Amino acid sequence: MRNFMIKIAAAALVAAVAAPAMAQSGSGSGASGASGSAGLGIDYAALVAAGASGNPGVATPGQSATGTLGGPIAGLINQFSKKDQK
Amino acid sequence: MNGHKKAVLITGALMLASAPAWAQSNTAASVAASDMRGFAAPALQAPVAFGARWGTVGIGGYGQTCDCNKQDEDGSIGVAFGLGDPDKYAALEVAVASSSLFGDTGSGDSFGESGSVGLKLHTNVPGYASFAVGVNGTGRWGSKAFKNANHSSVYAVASKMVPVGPFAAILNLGIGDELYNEPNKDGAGVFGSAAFYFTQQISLLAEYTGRFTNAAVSVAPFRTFPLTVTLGATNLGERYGGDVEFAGSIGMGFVFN
Repeated sequence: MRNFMIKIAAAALVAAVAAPAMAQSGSGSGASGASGSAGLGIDYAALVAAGASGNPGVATPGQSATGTLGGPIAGLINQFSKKDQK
Repeated sequence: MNGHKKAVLITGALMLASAPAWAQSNTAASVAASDMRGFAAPALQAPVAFGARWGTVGIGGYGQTCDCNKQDEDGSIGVAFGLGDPDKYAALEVAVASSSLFGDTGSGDSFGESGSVGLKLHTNVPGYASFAVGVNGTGRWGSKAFKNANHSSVYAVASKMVPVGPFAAILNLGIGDELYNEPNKDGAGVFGSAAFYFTQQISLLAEYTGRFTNAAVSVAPFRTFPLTVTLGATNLGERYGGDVEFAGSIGMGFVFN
C-alpha cells in the first residue's frame, strides 16, 4: 500500500511537470511540412516499435517481480495461462 | 502502388506472419507461463503506458508507404532499454530512433543522419494496469528541415488489460500534444487504442493517434521468443488529403534478468 501511494504521488508529480510543457508547445508540425513525411509519425513509430508498443516482451515482469503488479502484459500471461490450464 | 496491389501485399503478409502463431497456439499448454516471451503488440503508432524495465532491451523497425518522397515509402529503426522497476516504483524507457531509413528524399537526410529520442516514465498499478508520461521526438538531430518539421510531443497515457471471456483486450487512452494532436493546433489531443487478443500471440487492433485512424493485426510467431510483427493500414479516414497506406513494424526484445 505504501509503495502504491508513493507511485501515485510520483505519477501526479510527473503529470504536473508535463502539463506546462504541453501547454507551451504551440508550434504545430503540419501533416505535410518541409519534410515530406513530417506529421505522419514515421520517426515516432520506431520509438514505439523498439519499446513496448511494438515489442511487449520488454514489459514482462522480471524474476524479482514475481507476485507483484506486472501491468497489462502480466495480465495477458495470467489470462492465457488460466486458459491453457483448462 | 495502387489499392489492389496493396491489398494483395497485406493479405499475403498477414497469412505468412500468422501461420506459425496459429500452429503454435495448439501446443500452448506445454509451455510454462514463465517461458512466455512472445506477445502480440497492443498498438501500431500510439504510445502505451507500459514499457521496458531494467534488464530489458528492445529493437524495432517501422516502415510504411506514403506520398512523402520519390520512393513512396519511408521507415525508421530504433532501440530501447529500461531503467528501474515499474512494479516497485517506476521505470524509465529510453528509446533512440533513426528516421529516414529509406531516405534520400523526404527529409533530405540519409540513413542515420536524422533521428530523435523518446523517454517514457511508466509505472504499474493494481488491476493489470499502467500509467505513463513521456516525450517522443526530443533531442532530435539531422537536417534543419527535419528538425523544423518535427517537434517533440509530450503525452500521458493509461493502459489496462481487460479479460474478455477466455480472451483478453488491452485498452489504451492518452492525451498528447504535437503529433498526438491536430496539425497546427495548440494544446493536447486525445489518442487511444484497443487490441483484442485471441491468444497472447495474436491481436487485432484499432487505434486513433490524434491524427490518424489505423488498424492492424499483430503476431508473435514464437511463444517463447520475443519477436513481434505488426502489419496494418494507416490513415483509414484518408485525412489531410492523404491515402490509406500500408504499414508494418517488427520488434524484438531481450530480457537479461
